[in-house]
Amino acid sequence: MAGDDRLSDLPDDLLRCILNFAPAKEGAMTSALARRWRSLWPSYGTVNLDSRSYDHLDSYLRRLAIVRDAKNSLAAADGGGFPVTKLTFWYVEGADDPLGSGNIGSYYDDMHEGLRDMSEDLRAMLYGPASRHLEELRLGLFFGPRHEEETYDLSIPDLSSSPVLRVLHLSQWAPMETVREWGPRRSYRTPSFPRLVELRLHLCWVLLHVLQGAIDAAPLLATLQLDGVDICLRPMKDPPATRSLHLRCPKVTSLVLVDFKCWGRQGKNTMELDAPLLRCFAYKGPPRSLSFKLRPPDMTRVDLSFQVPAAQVGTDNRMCRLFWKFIHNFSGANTHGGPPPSPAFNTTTTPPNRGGYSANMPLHVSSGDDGPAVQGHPVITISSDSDSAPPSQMASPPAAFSASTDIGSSITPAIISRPLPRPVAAVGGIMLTPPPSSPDDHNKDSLDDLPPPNAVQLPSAFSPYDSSNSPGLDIDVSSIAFAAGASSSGTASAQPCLPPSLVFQPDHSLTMVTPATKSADPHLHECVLRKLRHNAKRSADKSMSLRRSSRLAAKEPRVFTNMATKAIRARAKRLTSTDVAKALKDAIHDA
Amino acid sequence: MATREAGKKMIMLKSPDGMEFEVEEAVAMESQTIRKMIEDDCADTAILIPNINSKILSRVIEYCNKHVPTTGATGAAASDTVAPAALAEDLKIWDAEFIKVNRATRFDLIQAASYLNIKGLLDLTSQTTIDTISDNSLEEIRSFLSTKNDYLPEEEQTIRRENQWAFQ
Repeated sequence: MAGDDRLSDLPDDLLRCILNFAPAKEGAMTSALARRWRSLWPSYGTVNLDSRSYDHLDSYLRRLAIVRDAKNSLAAADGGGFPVTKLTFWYVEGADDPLGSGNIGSYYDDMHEGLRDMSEDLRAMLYGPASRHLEELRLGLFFGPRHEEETYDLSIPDLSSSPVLRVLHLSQWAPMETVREWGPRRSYRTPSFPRLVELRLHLCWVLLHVLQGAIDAAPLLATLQLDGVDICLRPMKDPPATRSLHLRCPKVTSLVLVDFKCWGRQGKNTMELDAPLLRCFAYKGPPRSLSFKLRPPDMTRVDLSFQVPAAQVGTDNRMCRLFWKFIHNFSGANTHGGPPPSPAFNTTTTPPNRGGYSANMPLHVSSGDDGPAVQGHPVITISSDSDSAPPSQMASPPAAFSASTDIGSSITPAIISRPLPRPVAAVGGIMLTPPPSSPDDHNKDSLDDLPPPNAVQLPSAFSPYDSSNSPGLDIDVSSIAFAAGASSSGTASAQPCLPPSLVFQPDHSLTMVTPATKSADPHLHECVLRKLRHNAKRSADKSMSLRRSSRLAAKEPRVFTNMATKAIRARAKRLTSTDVAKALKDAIHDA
Repeated sequence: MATREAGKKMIMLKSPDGMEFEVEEAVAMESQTIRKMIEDDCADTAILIPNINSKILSRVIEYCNKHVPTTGATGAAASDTVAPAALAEDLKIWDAEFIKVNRATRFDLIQAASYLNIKGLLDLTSQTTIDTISDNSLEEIRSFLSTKNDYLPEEEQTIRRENQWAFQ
């Protein structure tokens, strides 16, 4: 084992680069390796602390040890005249404790005390001389089993002690300002993040105006990620049922909202984003009333992944209205007039016959190249229709959106249907009909859509569709990803009918988001298949196409996976949309 | 396989042992070093990559192929790339498989990543290296790195005392 690692042959700079990843303790240890290493530590400017390095200690000692090591590393760097530019402090305790432990008084007190002490220590460190040069700060304190974790309450000014801070990631944080809103109020100095470009909050709980304050204090903020963030509102005596919220992010070019909560108890709040420079936007969660003050003109990429809570499936039409409203945010951002272009490329192939059943549903792959291509944004429309409609029909209103899934717990898969020249319904009893057309709906070509041999149209909540009412979205901007479930057990059931999601890009390319073909629970899988078949049988509409498509999708998820993979490979080679469409055709043929 | 298409700019990379690799420009530009060469118009024909043998170079290209940004066409900076979580997760799994190599190869990859200035690969190899040495005692690390201890015993004692917290 010894002797064959030539790491010591590397130049100092490279070794520093590697040491950047070392936990504080190991980093300090290397100084005793040899004379040469003495000069390396602590000059590389990074201090990493992670409670996983201290797992051999009991919780009390671990708290002490990690704080001690943090202080010592900072002090050593400061003493040696080396600025610490990156500080990572990640502490997890009691994640495996039984749920409900927090209700036991002594357990709660202990956690609470540990959390409070550690926040105090962190605050002292952040105000210390060694933290003045911090450029990247990542903090996460997790106490207690999953959903009982408490937030730590460093205030925003505490975090802005370094004037050169560029990157700030906070997990499981509630700014003290938020906490104080319910307690005695104190004034605090105005925060300032003159250099901050990236802010990421993960599992945080923050008052809207506090978050706004932080954003306003960061004039250069370009990337904002809110992952599992609860936006709370000022307590009011009689809060109205619906509140309209506004978030200004004047310089933000990239915004990610994952499981973002600001919607009030009934999910009826509206959120208006003012982000004029936005270029990349990602959203994951249920369809909500989210809108943009002005359509960001330079939007180049949008990833949307909708999850519909089981409780809301099939119960109200609101979800469907919200969905379409949401989608409309992204229509026509690169507006162009003119009639929908005719498809430049059309192909009809036959998916394979793998399971001994007849699967001769044609797949139409059309690529509307001429219209949007003028802007350099060709769009691919892929639709599938076993009724063999003429290509002209295939090209315009695409068939179906599939939205995503996680039925394991509370989420149910849904297929959100786009107008079709025939009635459609969706899995799980949710029927999402399109909204009435809006005036700027002249671009029917440019809807990015998912090809659905797998758009299982199940008729449980069946509603006829009037094609004269077709809205024809003009999403030419960007991509829409409908993520087909993660790898939870729920995915198994969703998997046969939901495609791996594709991200359609403005540069006429597509990427796969989740193939989600693993961890299929055979039992669950079987149940879903049975249900699918049952529903298909009971269907009011006995059209062959429905049954055929559901059968195909249920039995043959691989057709699509295969197809998508090929398309992605084509994408990796940066081909034009025609090429991608051709690749798709090849793939279907191969399959 | 998807159809091979012309019209994409290809770059020829040559390793010192005479192997040639034709890669897409976008893939090659994952390396900041090569990007610079291309942007400075020094890459008309083939680029010779010194010090990196064909075996390592092919692995590096494999890495770049996988990591070529999907939003690249917009010219967005790396921080602009909102990678869908699932995609990022896939990449992580792929990375973990990719880096399952012996130490000599990993060492070569570190050097290659450093020379070619591929941040993701350098981070990956560095992290893996650190992972292999953490949780070891000083003597173990020393033998692992085949570092010769050139301290006098009393010097080492002093250093250990100064940073006593790290040796507990």
